[in-house]
Amino acid sequence: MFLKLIQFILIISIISTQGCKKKTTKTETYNSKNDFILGYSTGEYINEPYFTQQWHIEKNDIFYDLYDIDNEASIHANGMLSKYSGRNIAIAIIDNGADINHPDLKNAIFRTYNPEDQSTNVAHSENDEHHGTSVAGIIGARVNRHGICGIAYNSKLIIIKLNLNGMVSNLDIIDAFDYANQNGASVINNSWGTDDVDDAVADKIDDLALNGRNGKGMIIIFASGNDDKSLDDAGVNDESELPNVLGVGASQKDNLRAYYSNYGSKLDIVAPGGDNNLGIMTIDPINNKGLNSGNDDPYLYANSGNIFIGTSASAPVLSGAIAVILEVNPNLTREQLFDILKRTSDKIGDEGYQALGDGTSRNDYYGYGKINLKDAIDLAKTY
Amino acid sequence: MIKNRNQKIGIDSKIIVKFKDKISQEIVFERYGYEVVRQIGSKTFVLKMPNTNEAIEVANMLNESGVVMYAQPNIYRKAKMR
Repeated sequence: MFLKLIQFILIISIISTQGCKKKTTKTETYNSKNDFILGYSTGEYINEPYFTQQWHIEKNDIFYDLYDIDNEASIHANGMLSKYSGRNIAIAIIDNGADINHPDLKNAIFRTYNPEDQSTNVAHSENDEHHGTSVAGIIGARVNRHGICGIAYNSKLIIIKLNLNGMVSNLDIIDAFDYANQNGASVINNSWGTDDVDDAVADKIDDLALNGRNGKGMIIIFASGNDDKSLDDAGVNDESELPNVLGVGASQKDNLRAYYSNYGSKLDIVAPGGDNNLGIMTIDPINNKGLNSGNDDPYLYANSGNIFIGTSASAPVLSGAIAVILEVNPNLTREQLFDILKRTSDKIGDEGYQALGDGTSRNDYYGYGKINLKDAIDLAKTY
Repeated sequence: MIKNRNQKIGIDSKIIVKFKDKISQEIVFERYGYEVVRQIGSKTFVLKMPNTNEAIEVANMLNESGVVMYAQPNIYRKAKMR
């Protein structure tokens, strides 16, 4: 009876996320030399109040049972984040800005830039915007006994704002990529796309992918989109299809391709992106803004209220995981990193994978499969 | 606004040009005296034209000349958060 009561209390504590009190005794500090001083040992990431809801990182029995999540649905961090957390890896997030004052984010911010006016102002333009904040949280939310744990919770975030609500110019996009490169980014996350990339932008992306990161090659990730369409369709020429970019699709809680996720011959990989029943737990802007504007809750839960789903969520899951892999082996070139991902990703789904001559295999719905962080780390150690 | 396929796009008076080689670049700059706003790659430049019509004309002319990898106006288009 006692055991049952404990289980009941645990379940209530998971479901009643809105009412959880978050005790904060100490936060990270950030000094003028841009050094990151950690408030907690990295091993405490599992104690973040909403970590249990972060089903995309690693399996936990209670939440998985409650929401009927496939045992293999996560990226299989499998405790690796107690040792690796993307420490000192700079990740640029090109998006519609971010709330850099969010308690889970403020100590993760390394640089901010707005190409449109060459300022450092990356605040969301409208009160109900949240996209870039939510993407940033998945990657770099700090372990601070607030909210959640980013996959790369000791990475350094470079927030670059584009006018993704209106029209964005090629030169602003190029400026964004140049800024990321010039400020030491190893990974650039793009949870957006145009379906019609212009030559000048493709050329810049290609140049950085080949020559950025001090010649090792920048890791550039683009979300493949949520239209359940083939990117091989006539007239589609998407950023995620560029040859030196990682195009990422979405998987959902049943460990299959998410119903909305775009596919095609250039898709590289998938990562959890959630579905209408279970999203990717992340953050929302503070001060009564963001998706939750009106109820002043700065979190987007996996299981209730407004949820965050899509390849926009899959991309930062992958970006965070790659930052962790680069911490393990920072000497990896872009090509070596891609090779590791191809060889270690889980071959999920019912579609067969076509064997390629180099010992890897892929199909058009999952690319080379779903990121498996534990296996990728293991291979990166010896690569 | 210009309709391109199914998308609305816009342009301004700048063009982005990538030359095939340094000689082509020098010849074009010497002959036409374009205003160079900045260099964004080893062979890639942003040029400023007096107006958007001229930006389109010069971009077309450079593409037809065969001395560039590409020349295009600074296109504005809708990007979609995903």
